[in-house]
Amino acid sequence: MSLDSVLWAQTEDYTNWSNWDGSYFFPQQASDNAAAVDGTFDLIFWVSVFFFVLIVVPMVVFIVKYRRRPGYSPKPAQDHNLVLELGWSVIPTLILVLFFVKGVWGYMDMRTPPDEASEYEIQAQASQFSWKFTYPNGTVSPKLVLPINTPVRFRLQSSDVIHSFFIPAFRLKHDVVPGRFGTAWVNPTRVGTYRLYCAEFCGDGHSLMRRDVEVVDKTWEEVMDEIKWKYEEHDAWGNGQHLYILNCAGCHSVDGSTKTGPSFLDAWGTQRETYSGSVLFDENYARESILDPNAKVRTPFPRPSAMPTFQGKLTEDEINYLIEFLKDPAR
Amino acid sequence: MGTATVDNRRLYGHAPENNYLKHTRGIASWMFTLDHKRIGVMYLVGVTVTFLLGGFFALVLRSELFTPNKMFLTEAQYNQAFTLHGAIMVFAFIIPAIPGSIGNFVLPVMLGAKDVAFPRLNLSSFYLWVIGTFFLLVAMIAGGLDTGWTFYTPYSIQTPTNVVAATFGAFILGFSSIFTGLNFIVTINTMRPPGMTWFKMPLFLWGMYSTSIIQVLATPVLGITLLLLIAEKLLGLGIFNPAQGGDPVLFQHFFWFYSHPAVYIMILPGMAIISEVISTHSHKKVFGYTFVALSSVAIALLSFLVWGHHMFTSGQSSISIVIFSALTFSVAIPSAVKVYNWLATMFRGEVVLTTPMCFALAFLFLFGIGGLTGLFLGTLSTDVHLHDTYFVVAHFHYVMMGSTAVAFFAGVFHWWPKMFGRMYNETMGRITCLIVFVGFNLAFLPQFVMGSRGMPRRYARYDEVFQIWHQLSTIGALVLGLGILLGIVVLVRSLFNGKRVSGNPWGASTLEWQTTSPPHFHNFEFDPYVGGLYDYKGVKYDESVEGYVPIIPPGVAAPGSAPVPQTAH
Repeated sequence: MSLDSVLWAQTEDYTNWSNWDGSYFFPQQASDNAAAVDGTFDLIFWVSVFFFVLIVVPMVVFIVKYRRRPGYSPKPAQDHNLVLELGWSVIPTLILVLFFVKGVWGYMDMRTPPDEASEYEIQAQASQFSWKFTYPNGTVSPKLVLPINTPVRFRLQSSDVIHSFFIPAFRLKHDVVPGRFGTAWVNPTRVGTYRLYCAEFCGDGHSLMRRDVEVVDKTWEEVMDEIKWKYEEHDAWGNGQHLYILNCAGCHSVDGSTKTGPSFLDAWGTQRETYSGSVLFDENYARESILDPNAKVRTPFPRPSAMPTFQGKLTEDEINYLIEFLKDPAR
Repeated sequence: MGTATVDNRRLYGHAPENNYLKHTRGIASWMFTLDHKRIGVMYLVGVTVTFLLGGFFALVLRSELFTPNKMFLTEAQYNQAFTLHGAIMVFAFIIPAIPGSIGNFVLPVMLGAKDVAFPRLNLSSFYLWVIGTFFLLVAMIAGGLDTGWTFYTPYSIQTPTNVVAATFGAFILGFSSIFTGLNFIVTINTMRPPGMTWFKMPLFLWGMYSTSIIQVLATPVLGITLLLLIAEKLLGLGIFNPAQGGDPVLFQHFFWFYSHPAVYIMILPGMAIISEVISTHSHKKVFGYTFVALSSVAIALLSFLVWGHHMFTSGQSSISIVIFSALTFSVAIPSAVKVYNWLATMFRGEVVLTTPMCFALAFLFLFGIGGLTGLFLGTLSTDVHLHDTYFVVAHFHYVMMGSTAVAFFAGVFHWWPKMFGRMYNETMGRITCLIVFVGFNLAFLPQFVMGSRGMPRRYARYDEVFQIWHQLSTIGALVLGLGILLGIVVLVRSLFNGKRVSGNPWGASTLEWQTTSPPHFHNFEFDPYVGGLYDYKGVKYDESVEGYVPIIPPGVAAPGSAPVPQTAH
């Protein structure tokens, strides 16, 4: 499987966005900050058009009027004019001050979450090359679903390199820098499906860190209830795949490519070389490695292993589901 | 009264034999030359090669983007293509292009000097350029490079590609740039001819001087940053790597502390050329000379204070973001002043649409768009949305390619007859300019639209809604590529069958036109006469040389004549 198809498979609802439904310059306004941003953009746009015309029209006129031709001799002209020059320095300066103030004003609104927003906080975890969202009730999901008209805060975290959390329909962007938390907030105002992009180059799969963001006309409780993964509704392999996507996919591929750790493709039931000798990849080795990654580290990966222990993070049931998935990850 | 003892043909005509190209012969006479003109020509050839290489990668990646999903490049290959395009274009082409080639060739002649202040340093600067570029090519061949030209940590620490060779190459190229800058500062400070005070210097020299200040002051920061990155990679120091307690945003600060001023290392020489070209081909003194000259210096100084605007979304404190936004707007003003001064220069002038003038007019159009779209990015609330989208890509291509590279073309076509003593086919030159102009706009105008619609940059795959814009852009890029190739053909052909030109075919007023074309080995066989600055009434057409010659006022010794005897009062 190509990198493409593996990553795309991570979110079942991943769609290709093919019908433009926004305005000429912008996607739809789906947050309460979007209109202000677009308004500032339009203001700068029309002022720029005005000044651009003020460059191009005189340019064309001067080319035609003052071109060298028989019978034309230029009239004397000033080679400087203090008033004119101060004029075209000072007037643009005043306009720039206006842009600056509007920009700062808008920015402060975007960066200052209302008090209600602290009620609901989603932890957004970026890693190469996927997003993982932890909801207020503890549900972890690769999906981002937000109730309409409810301000929500994001706590942004990266587990590897710099990413950037970019939702054009919300006019929202914030870098996700490893080693520190980033914060962002939004009040979604329009029901629909939008796009989440990674906007900071993060490696091979950077352009595949596109996901859907859903804004739904439901309450937080309904959303969280729906998004919660229900083990009883899926078979063991499906539960295992879900757990793989959330916990393992960042480092272990299922397409044979080597990431931070070894690939799971065709690994099950074979002899694998470790620093402690050859080991059969079976239930016991899988379980031991999940709970104690340093027990038998695969060669030639660095030792001690970069993998954290999942002791206490995964239940026995969950480990069993994962094992089912590992037996045939490419199913 | 002194009388001319040397005829005008020898002073201001075409020099078929007695010139710098034919003074000595053989490969060694070029490789070990200390002549600034030959070094300039070698730079011109060198940067043309890197420009074509960078352009090749541009066309490769634009072709891949013709379809939203895979056409012929994997994600990893695409990432290498855009990284190599950016790194080669920035470090090996656009920073050295104008100072290295045109600056080296023209600057000393414009001063009426024999050479730059330190000819050996000048040659070593060229060889450092060669070695630095070689390391970039090593990175390209051995392991590739996929970090983007910005080398952001911690990805650049993690990636298995050859970051060490590439950053070492950029480090060496930095020293090449410092040497050139140092040389020009000393040359302009100490070697101006009698009578040429600071405010009687052609604006090209003001532009190059401002550029050199930035080169000397900012480049060392890049050098240290890249060395730290290499140390981080090889020794695991942990300065920038958060896994070891480092700070990746610190790298961005260091990087942009150089790389934003570097944007002005790229554009100021372009502006310097445009001042000369518009004045010469409008046959009128640059309007508001003092404003234009001082705005170059203002840009150079302000350029050091705005680096933070590359990091508006990286989580800096709000107060520093607001300050950086304000400072960013302040640097827009001197640029705007220049544009209106150039326009006013054409007012009541005598405009001739030569090839260099066509490129200069294209520059005004494209720089207008490039500059004005910068306002959307300096404004905080809109920048948050536009940051790291194709809007930014389009903006800086309008400034770097549409302005600097187009100004470079204007300069090459303007000084080509001086460099090689041959005139290219003017009609083909104008057609080149038209194709470049149309292709460029077709390539980059659509990118503004998809950028504001939310298309992130550096994406190998994209959503179908952006496809039509990507396709327009790709077609435009191919047209642009054809235009550039045509330009090279036009210039190279002129070397073989171009019309021989005199020392001053344009009727220009600055000193480099008061010698033969190509110039004498020592630039001037006899010291030139320093007349009024941009005084187009100070030259007249001379049938015997088929070009313009300076009018030497009575009472002044003509070049080559015996000194005027001083009579006692």
